[in-house]
Amino acid sequence: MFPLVLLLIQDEDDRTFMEGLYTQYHRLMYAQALQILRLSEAAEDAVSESLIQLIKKINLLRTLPCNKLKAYVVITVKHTAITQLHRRQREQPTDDTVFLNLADVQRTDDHVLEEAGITRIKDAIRSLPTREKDLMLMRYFRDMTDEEIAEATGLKPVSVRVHLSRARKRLAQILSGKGE
Amino acid sequence: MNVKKADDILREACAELADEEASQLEQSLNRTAIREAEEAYRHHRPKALRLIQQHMPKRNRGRMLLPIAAALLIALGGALMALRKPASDSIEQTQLPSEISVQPFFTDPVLLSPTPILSSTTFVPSSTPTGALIPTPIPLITATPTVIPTFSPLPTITPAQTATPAPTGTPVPSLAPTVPPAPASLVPPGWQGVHYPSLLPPGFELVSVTREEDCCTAAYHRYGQTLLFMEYDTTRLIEAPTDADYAYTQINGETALQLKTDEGVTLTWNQNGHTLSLFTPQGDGTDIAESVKKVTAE
Repeated sequence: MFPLVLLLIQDEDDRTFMEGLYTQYHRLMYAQALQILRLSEAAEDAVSESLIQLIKKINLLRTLPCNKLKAYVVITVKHTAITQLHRRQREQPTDDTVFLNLADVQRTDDHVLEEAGITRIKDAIRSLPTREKDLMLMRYFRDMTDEEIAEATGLKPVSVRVHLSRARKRLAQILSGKGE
Repeated sequence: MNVKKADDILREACAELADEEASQLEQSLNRTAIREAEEAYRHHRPKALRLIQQHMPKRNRGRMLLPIAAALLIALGGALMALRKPASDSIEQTQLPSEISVQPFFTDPVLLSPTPILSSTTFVPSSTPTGALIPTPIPLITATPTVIPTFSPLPTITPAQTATPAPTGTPVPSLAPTVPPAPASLVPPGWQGVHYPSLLPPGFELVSVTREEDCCTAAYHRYGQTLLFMEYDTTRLIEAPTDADYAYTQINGETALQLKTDEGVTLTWNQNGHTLSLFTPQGDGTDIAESVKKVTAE
C-alpha cells in the first residue's frame, strides 16, 4: 500500500505547494498585474492564467531557491499581464517570419557573451527592446520552450526563434561596442 | 564556440535581472497598491484555489502499477514465510524519542522561510508613525495547513493607544488543553526564539519552525486547521486596525491586542522585550498565550 500512499501524498503535496506559493506571493502577483492592467478583474484573470502556467512548471519551481522562486512568479505574472494588455488593446504582434534567413538562427557571437561579465550582459539585456527583453527572460529565466513562448505571446514558434536570435545578436553587438 | 556556456551565462544574467525586477516591485509598493492587491486577492482567492485544484497535474499512476504489484508480491511472500517460521520470543520495541523531534512538513526552503505578508484584509491606521506596523489577522489558513501565513512586522503598543482592556462580546469558551505544561526541554530543535508556549490545544502537532529576518514562527496543524506562534526579536508598536473587530485583554500582565475574524483570533502583545503573536482558529487564545514562557536565557 505504501506506493499508493506515496502517489496520493505526491498529488496532495503538489497542490499544497502551489497553494502555499499563491498564498506567499499573492501580494506581489496582484500588485504586478494591477500595475500593468489597472483593472482588478483583468488582474485577476492574469493571475489565474499565471497560476496555470506556474502549475505546468511545478517541477522546476520546486528546485528554485526562495529569491528565484519569487522572481519567477513575479515575472510570470508580468509577462501574462503584458500579453493580456496587448490583447485588450488589440495589438497584434508583428509576425516577421518572412524575413527569416540563416543568419538569424546561426549563433556566431556567443564568444562575446562568454567574454563579457554578468553585469555588462544584464545592462545589455536591459537596453533591449521590451519584447526582446521579455523573450529573453521567458527563454533563459522561465525556461520556456519556443512553443510555450509562442502560446504565451501569440507569436509563431518560428518567430520566437527569430526574435530570440536577433536579441542575442543585438546583445553581442552591444557588448562588443558596435550596437551602442 | 560553446553554446551551452553562452546559454548558462544568459540564464544567470536573466535570473539576476528577474530578481532585481521583483525586488524593485516589492520596494515600490505603497499603501494604496498593497490595499488594492489585498482586495483583489480576497475577492479572487476562492476561484484561484479552485483553479489550482482543477489544473494540478495528475501523477502518472500507470507507471507505478508494476512497482505496486511487485511490492504487494514481496509483502505477500514475506507474510507467507513468516507464517512458516517458528514463533519468536523476542518483541521488537520501537524506541521513542526522548524529545520531540520536529521535521519540517516540507523540505522546500520556500515554505520553510515565508516572507511576511498581510492578510486579505489590509488595515491602514489613520496616523502611523514612520516604521509603525499593523498587526493583521491571518485568515489565510487553507485546508492544507502547511501553508504558513505570516504577519507584516508589528509595531509596539504605546500606553496612550490602549483602550480599557476588556474582552468584547460573550466570552468564548477557552480551549481546555489536555496537554500538561511542557518543560523547556520540549522546545523543538531549531526554535531560535526566547519564548515558547507550554500549552497547546489537544491534537495540534508542530509542523514547522522557521525564522525570517527578525521573526521566528512555529506552525501547528490539526485536521485542516493551523495555529501559529510568532516571536519578534524586539518590541514593536502595535496599532489596532480602524475597521477590525478588536479588543484589548491582559496576557501575563501585559496589554494584548485581540483581533477577531471568521478564521480565528489573533493575539499580539509584548513580553520581556519581544513582541509575541498567536493565531488560533478556535477559542480566544488566552490560555495558550498565557502559557508562553521564557525558555532560553537572552
